[in-house]
Formats: sequence, C-alpha cells, structure tokens
Amino acid sequence: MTDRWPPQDSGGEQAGAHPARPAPAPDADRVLALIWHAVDELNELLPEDARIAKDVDAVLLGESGALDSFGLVNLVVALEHRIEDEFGTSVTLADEKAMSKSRSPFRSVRTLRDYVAEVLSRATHG
Amino acid sequence: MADRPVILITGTSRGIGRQLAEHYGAKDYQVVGCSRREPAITDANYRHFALDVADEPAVKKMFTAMRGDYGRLDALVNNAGIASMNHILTTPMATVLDVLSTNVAGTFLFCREAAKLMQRRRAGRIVNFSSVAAPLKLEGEAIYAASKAAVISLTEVLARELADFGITVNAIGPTPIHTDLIASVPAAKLDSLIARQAIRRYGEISDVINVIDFFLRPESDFVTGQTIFLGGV
Repeated sequence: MTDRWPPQDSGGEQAGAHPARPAPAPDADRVLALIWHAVDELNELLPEDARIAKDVDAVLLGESGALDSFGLVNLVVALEHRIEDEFGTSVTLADEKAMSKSRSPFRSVRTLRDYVAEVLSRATHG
Repeated sequence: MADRPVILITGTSRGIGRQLAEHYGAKDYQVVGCSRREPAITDANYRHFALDVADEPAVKKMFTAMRGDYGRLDALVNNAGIASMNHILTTPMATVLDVLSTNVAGTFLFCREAAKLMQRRRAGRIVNFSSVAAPLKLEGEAIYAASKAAVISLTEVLARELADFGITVNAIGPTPIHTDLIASVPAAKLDSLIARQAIRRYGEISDVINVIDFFLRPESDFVTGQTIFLGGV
C-alpha cells in the first residue's frame, strides 16, 4: 500500500489519512475544551499533588506555575494532537516566535487559550 | 490501536532499508517505510509513503496518518542517507545542502515526530545511522563524514532529552557494505578503509540487523546515547 505526500491531486481523500474537513473558525470555548482534554492527558502522568487545576486562571509557567519543562512539552504535544484531530490542521505551537516572546503565551490557561485561537485563526484563514 | 508493534524505517526503496523492512515484516511488525522512490516490497505487513525525509509538511502528514491508523509507534530506524565522495575544493554547495538536509535535518525531523507519538505510551526505540566515515575522518568525504558526526551528537543529546519519556536513542556506524551507496567508490579506496578496521572485511546487512535487533530488544531499555561501530572501528 502506498501513500504519496503531499497529495498529487485534490480529488479525494488519501488512503490512511484523516478525511479533509472544513475548518470552522475557532471560538474560545472550543479551544478551551481542547486544552482541558490535553490537561486531562497530562494529569494522568502527574502525581496527584502536581496536577493542573482546570481553571482558566490557572498559572502554568513561572515561579507559581504548575508545569516544569517536562510538563510543558507534554502539554504542547497533547494539545497539538488534539488540534489536529479536531480541526484537521497541523500546527506547531512552540515555534521560535512563541518561545521568544517576552511574555510567554504558555504562562496561564487563559493566555494559552488566546494564543491557540490566534494560531488556529492564522492556520485556517491564512 | 494496532495490536502488534509498529516500526518506521526510512529509505526503504533499496539497500539496507529494504532488507530491514523485509526483516521486521517477517517478525510480524507492522512496517511503515518511506523513500522518494517506490520500493519493490510486497509484504502484506508493509506500507509505504513516497516522500522526501526532509520535507516537513509531508513528513508531518505521514505521522498524522500513522497516529490515526495505528495509534502507536514502537521503533524508528533512521536509515535514509546520501553520500558524496568529493574533495572539498570540488564540492558544490548544492551537494553540501543535500547531504545535510537528508542525513541531519531528515534524521532530526523523524526523531522529533516519532518522539511525539512514542511519548504517549512512555516507550520507544530510535536507531540512527552514523558511519565509520566520522571516526575514521575519511578524506574525500568531508561533508558526508560531518553529517554522520552530527548524527552522533544528535543521538547523544536526544538520548538525554527523551529519557524521561521512556525513549532510547542509539546509533549504528556501519563499515562499507555492498550497497548502491558505495557503488561509485574506487575499490582501492574501500580496501584502504577496510584495512583500518580491527576486523578487515566488508560488512553484511545481517551485521547491521544484529545491532538494530539488540537496540530494539525490551531488555535494552537501559542502553541509550550509544553509537556502535561495526568492524572494530
């Protein structure tokens, strides 16, 4: 069985790939739901006292943050996979631009939600 | 999720990659392979993606398909590689970029995407391909040797970065083996290279398979960041 990437024509779905889906505009609640799924995945790996609260104001990074570098990598990967499944688009959240911002978009759930919505908006609407 | 282990092998159109695909297919792995050209593998356990290993969008789409269809990746063998035999004074920049793109950037990209898939199950094996060209500092192969030295560095650093995810990263450094990769190298040059090995003979693909089998064994979960050179180099 052979799959050719990128697809040679747009006439149909490639065998084995996710079906092409229309990309609706991301809204804040939908993005937040994805973040909670990713948080659930991450929390399964963490000891009970280190789990991330499902609170939009939860601080993720910094001195009072819930995530160490291992947790951040896990959260980013889980979130990228969720976005891919939900929106059918592959995004890179931890790119150089995001990592070099003086105020990290990963510092709280709220900033992460806004950042993901922005990335998705760029990815789905050019 | 696939109920048998999934192994991804790059560069399966010919040579070592093709035989590795057949070997692990016979061991009842689900084998996923990729190369720019179509392979002649007809094994029912084999699935092919035609792509360039340094083409990030194409590679990411392949991983998306694997995640959707198998939900797991147990092992990655970064076999795809290209060589260039040339004196520095006559090596075009296009060749330099081609070799680095396939041998270094391609290896990096596959390690990154594979680790994302492997980390879900907190287990995985990555095997990269270096070469004796790096430690032997072969003249006439500056950019190839440099690319394979980079693979060793990459392997050692990734072994540390991915250890917490239960993923081991090791490398093999083959001696010359009778494949297309060395078809254009003069026999006298190969003979002098082999004379520098502790065991002076050409490598066999079975020698490569033996080392990869070792890295992939469940009992090898305490072995990471290592490069095993064949022939006693």
